[in-house]
Amino acid sequence: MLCSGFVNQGKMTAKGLGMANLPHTIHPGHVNFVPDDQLEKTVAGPMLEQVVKGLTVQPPEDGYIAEPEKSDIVFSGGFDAVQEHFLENGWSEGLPVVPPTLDRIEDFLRHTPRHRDEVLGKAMPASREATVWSVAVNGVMSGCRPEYMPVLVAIVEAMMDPAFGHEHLGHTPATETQIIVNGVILKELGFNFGQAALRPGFQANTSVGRFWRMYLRNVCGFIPHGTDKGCFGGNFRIVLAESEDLTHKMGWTTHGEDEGYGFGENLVTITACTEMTQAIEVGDPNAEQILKNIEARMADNNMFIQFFFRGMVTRPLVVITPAILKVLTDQGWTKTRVRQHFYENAKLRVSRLSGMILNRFYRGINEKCWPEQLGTSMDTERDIQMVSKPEDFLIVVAGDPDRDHTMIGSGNGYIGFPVTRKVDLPDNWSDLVAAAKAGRK
Amino acid sequence: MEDSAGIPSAEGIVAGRHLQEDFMTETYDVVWPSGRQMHKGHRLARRLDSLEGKTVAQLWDWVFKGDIMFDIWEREMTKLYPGIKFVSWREFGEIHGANEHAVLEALPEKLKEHNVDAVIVGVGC
Repeated sequence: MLCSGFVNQGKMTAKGLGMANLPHTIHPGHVNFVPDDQLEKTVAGPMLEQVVKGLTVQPPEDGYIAEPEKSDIVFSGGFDAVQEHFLENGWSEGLPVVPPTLDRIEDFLRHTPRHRDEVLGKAMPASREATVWSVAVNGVMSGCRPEYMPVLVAIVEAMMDPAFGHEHLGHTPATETQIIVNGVILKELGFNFGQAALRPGFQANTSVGRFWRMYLRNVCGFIPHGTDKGCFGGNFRIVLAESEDLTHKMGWTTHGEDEGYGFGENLVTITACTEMTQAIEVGDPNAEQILKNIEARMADNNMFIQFFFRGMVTRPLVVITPAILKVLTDQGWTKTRVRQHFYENAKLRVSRLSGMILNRFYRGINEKCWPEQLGTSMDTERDIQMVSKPEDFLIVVAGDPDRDHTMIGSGNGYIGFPVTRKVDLPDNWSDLVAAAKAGRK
Repeated sequence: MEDSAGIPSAEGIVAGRHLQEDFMTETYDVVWPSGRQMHKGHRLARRLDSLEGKTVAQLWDWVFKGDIMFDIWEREMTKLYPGIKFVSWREFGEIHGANEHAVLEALPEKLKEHNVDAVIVGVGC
Protein backbone atom coordinates (compact mmCIF):
# COMPACT_ATOMS: atom_id res chain seq x y z
CA MET A 1 0.00 0.00 0.00
CA LEU A 2 1.67 3.19 -1.16
CA CYS A 3 0.69 6.81 -1.45
CA SER A 4 1.73 7.89 -4.95
CA GLY A 5 4.61 10.02 -3.68
CA PHE A 6 6.20 6.92 -2.20
CA VAL A 7 6.20 4.64 -5.22
CA ASN A 8 9.89 5.09 -6.02
CA GLN A 9 10.85 4.54 -2.40
CA GLY A 10 8.68 1.44 -2.24
CA LYS A 11 10.07 -0.03 -5.44
CA MET A 12 13.70 0.63 -4.53
CA THR A 13 13.28 -0.66 -0.98
CA ALA A 14 11.62 -3.83 -2.24
CA LYS A 15 14.43 -4.33 -4.75
CA GLY A 16 17.02 -3.86 -2.00
CA LEU A 17 15.26 -6.51 0.05
CA GLY A 18 15.44 -8.92 -2.87
CA MET A 19 11.80 -8.51 -3.85
CA ALA A 20 11.98 -6.42 -7.01
CA ASN A 21 8.61 -6.10 -8.75
CA LEU A 22 6.73 -6.69 -5.51
CA PRO A 23 3.14 -5.73 -6.41
CA HIS A 24 1.67 -2.64 -4.79
CA THR A 25 -1.51 -0.62 -4.70
CA ILE A 26 -1.28 3.14 -5.03
CA HIS A 27 -3.35 5.86 -3.42
CA PRO A 28 -3.19 9.00 -5.58
CA GLY A 29 -1.69 11.75 -3.39
CA HIS A 30 -1.32 11.57 0.38
CA VAL A 31 -4.20 10.12 2.42
CA ASN A 32 -3.89 12.94 4.98
CA PHE A 33 -5.38 15.38 2.46
CA VAL A 34 -8.39 13.23 1.53
CA PRO A 35 -11.80 13.14 3.29
CA ASP A 36 -13.04 9.68 4.24
CA ASP A 37 -15.84 9.53 1.63
CA GLN A 38 -13.34 10.17 -1.15
CA LEU A 39 -10.95 7.62 0.36
CA GLU A 40 -13.79 5.06 0.31
CA LYS A 41 -14.28 5.50 -3.45
CA THR A 42 -10.58 5.12 -4.25
CA VAL A 43 -9.98 2.19 -1.93
CA ALA A 44 -13.08 0.25 -2.98
CA GLY A 45 -12.41 1.05 -6.66
CA PRO A 46 -9.00 1.14 -8.36
CA MET A 47 -7.03 0.20 -5.24
CA LEU A 48 -9.13 -2.92 -4.67
CA GLU A 49 -8.44 -4.04 -8.24
CA GLN A 50 -4.71 -3.54 -7.68
CA VAL A 51 -4.80 -5.51 -4.42
CA VAL A 52 -6.56 -8.46 -6.04
CA LYS A 53 -4.17 -8.42 -8.99
CA GLY A 54 -1.20 -8.18 -6.62
CA LEU A 55 -2.32 -11.28 -4.74
CA THR A 56 -3.21 -13.38 -7.78
CA VAL A 57 -1.00 -12.40 -10.74
CA GLN A 58 2.64 -13.51 -10.65
CA PRO A 59 5.02 -10.58 -11.36
CA PRO A 60 8.16 -11.11 -13.47
CA GLU A 61 11.41 -11.84 -11.62
CA ASP A 62 14.17 -9.25 -11.79
CA GLY A 63 17.26 -10.07 -13.87
CA TYR A 64 20.76 -10.36 -12.40
CA ILE A 65 23.00 -7.32 -12.86
CA ALA A 66 26.76 -7.80 -12.45
CA GLU A 67 28.43 -5.31 -10.09
CA PRO A 68 32.11 -4.40 -9.62
CA GLU A 69 34.36 -6.18 -7.14
CA LYS A 70 35.77 -3.96 -4.43
CA SER A 71 39.14 -3.18 -6.00
CA ASP A 72 38.02 -3.09 -9.65
CA ILE A 73 38.92 0.18 -11.32
CA VAL A 74 35.54 1.51 -12.43
CA PHE A 75 36.79 4.73 -13.98
CA SER A 76 40.03 6.46 -14.98
CA GLY A 77 40.28 10.15 -15.67
CA GLY A 78 41.32 13.59 -14.55
CA PHE A 79 39.96 15.29 -11.44
CA ASP A 80 37.04 16.96 -13.21
CA ALA A 81 36.12 13.81 -15.12
CA VAL A 82 36.08 11.80 -11.90
CA GLN A 83 33.73 14.35 -10.33
CA GLU A 84 31.37 14.15 -13.31
CA HIS A 85 31.46 10.35 -13.27
CA PHE A 86 30.59 10.20 -9.59
CA LEU A 87 27.81 12.74 -9.96
CA GLU A 88 26.31 10.90 -12.95
CA ASN A 89 26.25 7.66 -10.99
CA GLY A 90 24.83 9.24 -7.86
CA TRP A 91 27.96 8.45 -5.85
CA SER A 92 28.43 11.92 -4.37
CA GLU A 93 26.12 14.43 -2.73
CA GLY A 94 27.21 17.27 -5.00
CA LEU A 95 30.35 18.52 -3.33
CA PRO A 96 33.64 17.49 -4.93
CA VAL A 97 34.97 14.16 -3.66
CA VAL A 98 38.54 13.06 -3.17
CA PRO A 99 39.06 10.40 -5.88
CA PRO A 100 39.08 6.96 -4.15
CA THR A 101 42.27 5.51 -5.62
CA LEU A 102 43.78 2.25 -4.39
CA ASP A 103 46.82 3.92 -2.84
CA ARG A 104 44.66 6.33 -0.82
CA ILE A 105 42.43 3.48 0.34
CA GLU A 106 45.48 1.44 1.38
CA ASP A 107 46.67 4.39 3.42
CA PHE A 108 43.37 4.44 5.31
CA LEU A 109 43.47 0.67 5.85
CA ARG A 110 46.92 0.97 7.48
CA HIS A 111 45.26 3.02 10.24
CA THR A 112 42.93 0.30 11.49
CA PRO A 113 43.67 -3.10 13.02
CA ARG A 114 40.56 -4.49 11.35
CA HIS A 115 40.71 -6.71 8.27
CA ARG A 116 39.69 -4.95 5.08
CA ASP A 117 37.09 -7.62 4.27
CA GLU A 118 35.48 -7.68 7.70
CA VAL A 119 31.73 -7.27 7.38
CA LEU A 120 30.46 -4.86 10.03
CA GLY A 121 26.80 -5.47 9.27
CA LYS A 122 24.08 -5.44 6.68
CA ALA A 123 23.61 -1.96 5.25
CA MET A 124 19.95 -1.31 4.59
CA PRO A 125 17.80 -0.75 2.60
CA ALA A 126 20.14 -1.92 -0.19
CA SER A 127 21.10 -5.08 1.80
CA ARG A 128 24.79 -4.55 1.11
CA GLU A 129 27.84 -5.63 3.07
CA ALA A 130 29.14 -2.81 5.26
CA THR A 131 32.86 -3.59 5.15
CA VAL A 132 36.01 -2.00 6.50
CA TRP A 133 37.00 -1.55 2.85
CA SER A 134 33.91 0.49 1.98
CA VAL A 135 34.46 2.58 5.12
CA ALA A 136 37.90 3.47 3.78
CA VAL A 137 36.59 4.27 0.28
CA ASN A 138 33.90 6.60 1.55
CA GLY A 139 36.28 8.11 4.11
CA VAL A 140 38.66 9.00 1.29
CA MET A 141 35.83 10.50 -0.75
CA SER A 142 34.55 12.59 2.17
CA GLY A 143 37.86 14.37 2.64
CA CYS A 144 38.86 12.57 5.83
CA ARG A 145 42.48 12.05 6.75
CA PRO A 146 43.73 8.43 6.93
CA GLU A 147 44.16 8.70 10.70
CA TYR A 148 40.40 9.25 11.10
CA MET A 149 39.86 5.67 9.92
CA PRO A 150 39.44 4.08 13.41
CA VAL A 151 36.70 6.63 14.18
CA LEU A 152 34.97 5.89 10.87
CA VAL A 153 34.98 2.15 11.53
CA ALA A 154 33.47 2.69 14.99
CA ILE A 155 30.78 4.91 13.47
CA VAL A 156 29.71 2.26 10.97
CA GLU A 157 29.77 -0.42 13.67
CA ALA A 158 27.39 1.77 15.68
CA MET A 159 25.27 2.42 12.58
CA MET A 160 24.86 -1.33 12.08
CA ASP A 161 23.64 -1.93 15.65
CA PRO A 162 19.96 -2.96 15.40
CA ALA A 163 19.18 -0.70 18.37
CA PHE A 164 19.91 2.32 16.18
CA GLY A 165 17.65 1.22 13.32
CA HIS A 166 19.51 2.84 10.42
CA GLU A 167 17.17 1.09 7.98
CA HIS A 168 14.50 3.71 8.81
CA LEU A 169 16.62 6.75 7.94
CA GLY A 170 14.79 7.27 4.65
CA HIS A 171 11.64 8.33 6.50
CA THR A 172 9.85 11.59 5.73
CA PRO A 173 11.04 13.62 8.76
CA ALA A 174 14.55 13.16 7.30
CA THR A 175 16.24 12.40 10.56
CA GLU A 176 19.92 13.23 10.67
CA THR A 177 22.32 11.77 13.19
CA GLN A 178 24.47 13.52 15.75
CA ILE A 179 27.83 11.83 16.12
CA ILE A 180 29.56 12.45 19.46
CA VAL A 181 33.25 11.67 19.91
CA ASN A 182 34.99 11.26 23.27
CA GLY A 183 38.49 10.38 24.37
CA VAL A 184 42.13 11.34 24.02
CA ILE A 185 41.76 10.87 20.28
CA LEU A 186 39.97 14.25 20.14
CA LYS A 187 43.23 16.11 20.62
CA GLU A 188 45.29 13.67 18.57
CA LEU A 189 43.04 14.17 15.55
CA GLY A 190 42.29 17.86 16.06
CA PHE A 191 38.55 17.77 16.76
CA ASN A 192 37.15 21.13 17.79
CA PHE A 193 35.15 21.01 21.03
CA GLY A 194 35.34 24.71 21.92
CA GLN A 195 33.77 27.77 20.38
CA ALA A 196 31.93 26.96 17.10
CA ALA A 197 31.88 23.28 18.03
CA LEU A 198 29.19 22.56 15.43
CA ARG A 199 30.42 24.90 12.68
CA PRO A 200 32.17 23.66 9.51
CA GLY A 201 35.78 24.75 9.52
CA PHE A 202 37.51 21.98 11.44
CA GLN A 203 38.52 19.10 9.20
CA ALA A 204 37.95 16.27 11.65
CA ASN A 205 34.49 17.43 12.76
CA THR A 206 33.38 18.34 9.24
CA SER A 207 34.73 15.51 7.12
CA VAL A 208 33.68 12.77 9.57
CA GLY A 209 30.20 14.31 9.63
CA ARG A 210 30.17 14.30 5.83
CA PHE A 211 31.29 10.65 5.83
CA TRP A 212 28.11 9.61 7.68
CA ARG A 213 25.84 10.81 4.89
CA MET A 214 28.25 9.56 2.18
CA TYR A 215 28.13 6.06 3.65
CA LEU A 216 24.33 6.14 3.89
CA ARG A 217 24.24 7.11 0.21
CA ASN A 218 26.80 4.78 -1.29
CA VAL A 219 26.56 1.65 0.83
CA CYS A 220 23.15 1.74 2.55
CA GLY A 221 21.57 3.10 -0.63
CA PHE A 222 19.68 6.12 0.73
CA ILE A 223 19.23 8.28 -2.36
CA PRO A 224 16.92 11.33 -2.44
CA HIS A 225 13.97 10.85 -4.83
CA GLY A 226 14.38 7.13 -4.18
CA THR A 227 14.78 5.38 -0.85
CA ASP A 228 15.50 8.66 0.97
CA LYS A 229 12.00 10.16 1.29
CA GLY A 230 12.92 13.07 3.56
CA CYS A 231 10.28 15.73 3.04
CA PHE A 232 12.76 18.60 3.31
CA GLY A 233 15.94 16.96 4.56
CA GLY A 234 18.83 18.80 6.07
CA ASN A 235 22.58 18.87 5.98
CA PHE A 236 24.75 16.22 7.60
CA ARG A 237 25.66 17.21 11.14
CA ILE A 238 29.10 18.37 12.16
CA VAL A 239 30.59 15.92 14.67
CA LEU A 240 30.21 16.99 18.30
CA ALA A 241 33.33 16.57 20.40
CA GLU A 242 33.11 16.91 24.16
CA SER A 243 35.11 19.42 26.15
CA GLU A 244 36.40 16.66 28.40
CA ASP A 245 39.09 18.38 30.41
CA LEU A 246 36.84 21.22 31.53
CA THR A 247 34.02 18.78 32.27
CA HIS A 248 36.29 16.70 34.45
CA LYS A 249 37.92 19.70 36.09
CA MET A 250 34.50 20.89 37.23
CA GLY A 251 33.67 17.49 38.68
CA TRP A 252 31.20 16.09 36.15
CA THR A 253 31.46 12.82 34.31
CA THR A 254 31.88 12.97 30.55
CA HIS A 255 29.32 11.47 28.20
CA GLY A 256 31.69 8.55 27.68
CA GLU A 257 31.79 7.87 31.42
CA ASP A 258 27.98 8.06 31.52
CA GLU A 259 27.99 5.27 28.97
CA GLY A 260 30.12 3.10 31.27
CA TYR A 261 33.61 3.75 29.92
CA GLY A 262 36.68 5.29 31.50
CA PHE A 263 37.69 8.95 31.29
CA GLY A 264 39.70 9.50 28.13
CA GLU A 265 38.62 6.27 26.42
CA ASN A 266 38.11 6.74 22.71
CA LEU A 267 34.44 6.40 21.88
CA VAL A 268 31.90 7.19 19.23
CA THR A 269 28.21 7.68 20.04
CA ILE A 270 25.49 8.11 17.44
CA THR A 271 22.03 9.38 18.25
CA ALA A 272 19.07 10.51 16.15
CA CYS A 273 18.86 14.27 15.80
CA THR A 274 16.03 15.29 13.51
CA GLU A 275 16.08 18.77 14.95
CA MET A 276 18.58 20.82 16.93
CA THR A 277 17.16 23.86 18.68
CA GLN A 278 19.30 26.54 20.20
CA ALA A 279 18.25 27.91 23.57
CA ILE A 280 20.08 31.19 23.61
CA GLU A 281 21.05 33.09 26.70
CA VAL A 282 19.92 30.65 29.33
CA GLY A 283 22.54 32.14 31.61
CA ASP A 284 21.64 33.39 35.07
CA PRO A 285 23.50 33.85 38.35
CA ASN A 286 21.15 31.25 39.81
CA ALA A 287 21.82 27.71 38.61
CA GLU A 288 18.26 26.50 39.00
CA GLN A 289 17.01 29.38 36.85
CA ILE A 290 19.36 28.19 34.09
CA LEU A 291 17.74 24.76 34.26
CA LYS A 292 14.28 26.31 34.11
CA ASN A 293 15.31 28.32 31.04
CA ILE A 294 16.51 25.14 29.29
CA GLU A 295 13.34 23.28 30.26
CA ALA A 296 11.17 26.06 28.86
CA ARG A 297 12.86 25.67 25.52
CA MET A 298 12.37 21.90 25.59
CA ALA A 299 8.64 22.56 25.91
CA ASP A 300 8.78 25.12 23.09
CA ASN A 301 10.02 22.61 20.56
CA ASN A 302 8.14 19.67 22.16
CA MET A 303 10.96 17.28 21.19
CA PHE A 304 8.73 15.15 18.94
CA ILE A 305 6.76 14.05 21.95
CA GLN A 306 4.23 12.26 19.75
CA PHE A 307 6.49 9.21 19.80
CA PHE A 308 6.58 9.28 23.59
CA PHE A 309 2.77 9.24 23.45
CA ARG A 310 3.00 6.10 21.38
CA GLY A 311 5.05 4.21 23.93
CA MET A 312 8.57 4.93 22.75
CA VAL A 313 11.46 6.17 24.86
CA THR A 314 12.77 9.50 23.57
CA ARG A 315 16.40 10.48 24.20
CA PRO A 316 16.97 14.25 23.95
CA LEU A 317 20.55 15.48 23.61
CA VAL A 318 21.34 18.58 25.67
CA VAL A 319 24.61 20.35 24.88
CA ILE A 320 25.69 22.93 27.45
CA THR A 321 28.73 25.18 27.41
CA PRO A 322 31.50 25.04 30.01
CA ALA A 323 30.31 28.48 31.19
CA ILE A 324 26.91 27.03 32.10
CA LEU A 325 28.53 24.02 33.69
CA LYS A 326 30.61 26.31 35.91
CA VAL A 327 27.54 28.01 37.40
CA LEU A 328 25.87 24.64 37.93
CA THR A 329 28.86 23.04 39.61
CA ASP A 330 29.72 26.14 41.67
CA GLN A 331 26.24 25.82 43.18
CA GLY A 332 26.55 22.09 43.82
CA TRP A 333 24.54 20.69 40.91
CA THR A 334 25.68 17.20 39.98
CA LYS A 335 24.84 15.73 36.60
CA THR A 336 22.43 13.33 38.29
CA ARG A 337 20.56 16.20 39.96
CA VAL A 338 20.40 18.14 36.71
CA ARG A 339 18.91 15.13 34.90
CA GLN A 340 16.38 14.71 37.70
CA HIS A 341 15.43 18.38 37.42
CA PHE A 342 14.97 18.07 33.66
CA TYR A 343 12.88 14.94 34.16
CA GLU A 344 10.57 16.51 36.71
CA ASN A 345 10.29 20.00 35.28
CA ALA A 346 10.55 19.81 31.48
CA LYS A 347 6.79 19.87 30.96
CA LEU A 348 4.51 20.50 28.04
CA ARG A 349 1.00 21.97 28.23
CA VAL A 350 -1.09 19.54 26.17
CA SER A 351 -3.33 22.29 24.75
CA ARG A 352 -0.34 23.57 22.77
CA LEU A 353 -0.64 20.49 20.54
CA SER A 354 -2.96 20.28 17.54
CA GLY A 355 -4.09 18.06 14.68
CA MET A 356 -2.51 14.63 14.31
CA ILE A 357 -0.17 15.23 17.24
CA LEU A 358 -3.09 15.86 19.58
CA ASN A 359 -4.83 12.74 18.22
CA ARG A 360 -1.73 10.75 19.06
CA PHE A 361 -1.85 12.12 22.60
CA TYR A 362 -5.44 10.88 22.96
CA ARG A 363 -4.43 7.53 21.58
CA GLY A 364 -1.50 7.29 23.97
CA ILE A 365 -3.81 7.97 26.91
CA ASN A 366 -6.26 5.35 25.63
CA GLU A 367 -3.46 2.83 25.36
CA LYS A 368 -2.19 3.74 28.83
CA CYS A 369 1.27 4.71 27.63
CA TRP A 370 3.51 6.17 30.35
CA PRO A 371 0.68 6.88 32.84
CA GLU A 372 3.10 8.19 35.47
CA GLN A 373 4.45 10.83 33.08
CA LEU A 374 1.41 11.53 30.87
CA GLY A 375 -1.37 10.93 33.36
CA THR A 376 -4.59 9.17 32.45
CA SER A 377 -6.88 12.12 31.70
CA MET A 378 -7.92 13.48 28.29
CA ASP A 379 -7.86 16.99 29.78
CA THR A 380 -5.62 19.17 27.65
CA GLU A 381 -5.25 22.05 30.09
CA ARG A 382 -2.56 20.35 32.08
CA ASP A 383 1.20 19.82 31.92
CA ILE A 384 2.81 16.48 31.13
CA GLN A 385 6.36 15.22 31.45
CA MET A 386 8.37 14.71 28.30
CA VAL A 387 10.61 11.70 28.95
CA SER A 388 10.28 8.39 30.76
CA LYS A 389 13.15 8.72 33.25
CA PRO A 390 16.02 11.10 34.13
CA GLU A 391 18.59 8.93 32.36
CA ASP A 392 16.86 9.52 29.02
CA PHE A 393 18.68 12.85 28.76
CA LEU A 394 22.11 12.76 27.12
CA ILE A 395 24.16 15.70 28.38
CA VAL A 396 27.36 16.79 26.64
CA VAL A 397 29.57 19.78 27.45
CA ALA A 398 30.99 21.64 24.43
CA GLY A 399 30.99 25.00 22.70
CA ASP A 400 32.12 28.46 23.67
CA PRO A 401 33.57 28.33 27.19
CA ASP A 402 32.54 31.95 27.70
CA ARG A 403 28.92 31.88 26.55
CA ASP A 404 25.57 30.79 27.92
CA HIS A 405 23.85 29.00 25.04
CA THR A 406 22.41 25.50 24.96
CA MET A 407 21.57 23.19 22.06
CA ILE A 408 18.76 20.67 22.40
CA GLY A 409 18.61 17.84 19.91
CA SER A 410 15.73 15.43 19.51
CA GLY A 411 14.82 12.57 17.22
CA ASN A 412 11.58 12.05 15.35
CA GLY A 413 10.53 8.45 14.88
CA TYR A 414 11.17 4.90 16.00
CA ILE A 415 14.75 5.38 15.11
CA GLY A 416 18.18 6.37 16.22
CA PHE A 417 18.42 5.24 19.83
CA PRO A 418 21.91 6.14 21.12
CA VAL A 419 24.63 3.59 20.44
CA THR A 420 28.21 3.90 21.71
CA ARG A 421 31.22 2.00 20.31
CA LYS A 422 34.86 1.93 21.32
CA VAL A 423 37.34 3.18 18.76
CA ASP A 424 39.68 0.33 17.90
CA LEU A 425 43.26 1.57 17.36
CA PRO A 426 46.17 -0.30 15.79
CA ASP A 427 49.19 -1.17 17.97
CA ASN A 428 51.40 1.39 16.19
CA TRP A 429 48.85 4.19 16.63
CA SER A 430 51.28 6.65 18.25
CA ASP A 431 53.74 6.21 15.40
CA LEU A 432 51.00 6.68 12.82
CA VAL A 433 49.75 9.87 14.46
CA ALA A 434 53.30 11.22 14.77
CA ALA A 435 54.01 10.38 11.12
CA ALA A 436 50.76 12.05 10.03
CA LYS A 437 51.65 15.22 11.92
CA ALA A 438 55.17 15.23 10.52
CA GLY A 439 53.82 14.72 7.00
CA ARG A 440 51.69 17.85 7.24
CA LYS A 441 54.65 20.12 7.94
CA MET B 1 55.94 31.49 1.47
CA GLU B 2 54.20 34.33 3.29
CA ASP B 3 55.39 37.74 4.38
CA SER B 4 55.04 38.85 7.98
CA ALA B 5 51.44 39.96 7.35
CA GLY B 6 50.48 36.47 6.10
CA ILE B 7 50.19 37.53 2.44
CA PRO B 8 51.56 34.91 -0.03
CA SER B 9 54.66 35.97 -1.93
CA ALA B 10 54.89 35.97 -5.75
CA GLU B 11 57.00 32.76 -5.62
CA GLY B 12 54.39 31.12 -3.42
CA ILE B 13 51.61 31.94 -5.86
CA VAL B 14 53.60 30.45 -8.78
CA ALA B 15 54.40 27.30 -6.79
CA GLY B 16 50.72 26.97 -5.87
CA ARG B 17 49.73 27.22 -9.52
CA HIS B 18 52.11 24.36 -10.40
CA LEU B 19 50.63 22.21 -7.66
CA GLN B 20 47.13 22.97 -8.87
CA GLU B 21 48.05 22.09 -12.46
CA ASP B 22 49.52 18.72 -11.35
CA PHE B 23 46.40 18.03 -9.34
CA MET B 24 44.09 18.81 -12.26
CA THR B 25 46.04 16.92 -14.93
CA GLU B 26 46.76 13.75 -12.95
CA THR B 27 44.81 10.63 -13.95
CA TYR B 28 42.93 8.93 -11.15
CA ASP B 29 42.04 5.23 -11.25
CA VAL B 30 39.07 4.98 -8.91
CA VAL B 31 37.00 2.19 -7.36
CA TRP B 32 33.31 1.71 -6.72
CA PRO B 33 32.14 3.17 -3.41
CA SER B 34 29.44 0.62 -2.65
CA GLY B 35 29.51 -2.98 -1.42
CA ARG B 36 28.44 -6.48 -2.31
CA GLN B 37 24.74 -7.26 -2.06
CA MET B 38 24.05 -9.77 0.69
CA HIS B 39 21.38 -11.76 -1.12
CA LYS B 40 21.42 -13.28 -4.55
CA GLY B 41 17.85 -12.40 -5.35
CA HIS B 42 14.91 -13.89 -3.52
CA ARG B 43 12.09 -15.21 -5.56
CA LEU B 44 8.76 -13.58 -5.00
CA ALA B 45 6.23 -15.86 -3.36
CA ARG B 46 3.89 -17.71 -5.68
CA ARG B 47 0.71 -15.72 -6.17
CA LEU B 48 -2.59 -17.41 -5.36
CA ASP B 49 -4.75 -19.01 -8.08
CA SER B 50 -7.85 -17.63 -6.38
CA LEU B 51 -8.69 -15.80 -3.18
CA GLU B 52 -11.67 -18.05 -2.45
CA GLY B 53 -11.28 -19.76 0.91
CA LYS B 54 -7.87 -18.14 1.51
CA THR B 55 -6.57 -16.40 4.63
CA VAL B 56 -5.19 -12.88 4.16
CA ALA B 57 -3.21 -11.12 6.90
CA GLN B 58 -3.14 -7.35 7.36
CA LEU B 59 0.10 -5.72 8.49
CA TRP B 60 0.30 -2.05 9.33
CA ASP B 61 2.03 0.48 11.57
CA TRP B 62 -1.19 2.09 12.77
CA VAL B 63 -0.86 5.49 11.11
CA PHE B 64 -2.27 7.10 7.95
CA LYS B 65 -5.76 5.58 7.65
CA GLY B 66 -4.81 1.95 7.14
CA ASP B 67 -7.62 0.94 9.51
CA ILE B 68 -10.20 2.49 7.16
CA MET B 69 -8.60 0.94 4.09
CA PHE B 70 -8.37 -2.56 5.54
CA ASP B 71 -12.03 -2.39 6.61
CA ILE B 72 -13.08 -1.49 3.07
CA TRP B 73 -11.05 -4.26 1.44
CA GLU B 74 -12.28 -6.78 3.97
CA ARG B 75 -15.88 -5.80 3.26
CA GLU B 76 -15.50 -5.81 -0.55
CA MET B 77 -13.35 -8.95 -0.85
CA THR B 78 -15.69 -10.92 1.40
CA LYS B 79 -18.45 -10.17 -1.12
CA LEU B 80 -16.28 -11.20 -4.06
CA TYR B 81 -14.52 -14.33 -2.73
CA PRO B 82 -16.55 -16.87 -0.74
CA GLY B 83 -14.76 -18.26 2.29
CA ILE B 84 -12.00 -15.63 2.32
CA LYS B 85 -10.80 -14.86 5.86
CA PHE B 86 -8.78 -11.96 7.24
CA VAL B 87 -6.39 -11.77 10.17
CA SER B 88 -6.57 -8.22 11.49
CA TRP B 89 -3.60 -5.89 11.88
CA ARG B 90 -4.58 -5.74 15.57
CA GLU B 91 -3.46 -9.36 15.91
CA PHE B 92 0.12 -8.58 14.90
CA GLY B 93 0.79 -5.21 16.57
CA GLU B 94 2.53 -2.15 15.11
CA ILE B 95 5.14 -3.34 12.62
CA HIS B 96 6.96 0.01 12.81
CA GLY B 97 6.52 1.18 16.38
CA ALA B 98 8.00 1.23 19.86
CA ASN B 99 7.89 -2.56 20.00
CA GLU B 100 8.77 -3.26 16.37
CA HIS B 101 11.69 -5.64 16.89
CA ALA B 102 9.58 -7.98 19.02
CA VAL B 103 6.62 -7.71 16.63
CA LEU B 104 8.72 -8.60 13.59
CA GLU B 105 10.46 -11.43 15.40
CA ALA B 106 7.11 -12.97 16.28
CA LEU B 107 5.71 -12.46 12.79
CA PRO B 108 6.75 -15.71 10.99
CA GLU B 109 5.33 -17.85 13.79
CA LYS B 110 2.09 -15.87 13.90
CA LEU B 111 1.64 -16.14 10.14
CA LYS B 112 2.05 -19.94 10.42
CA GLU B 113 -0.25 -20.10 13.40
CA HIS B 114 -3.03 -18.40 11.44
CA ASN B 115 -2.38 -20.43 8.25
CA VAL B 116 -1.92 -17.22 6.31
CA ASP B 117 -1.85 -17.55 2.50
CA ALA B 118 -1.18 -13.92 1.61
CA VAL B 119 -0.38 -10.58 3.24
CA ILE B 120 -1.34 -6.98 2.52
CA VAL B 121 1.07 -4.56 4.16
CA GLY B 122 1.35 -0.80 4.56
CA VAL B 123 3.89 1.24 6.50
CA GLY B 124 3.46 4.98 6.98
CA CYS B 125 6.54 6.92 7.89
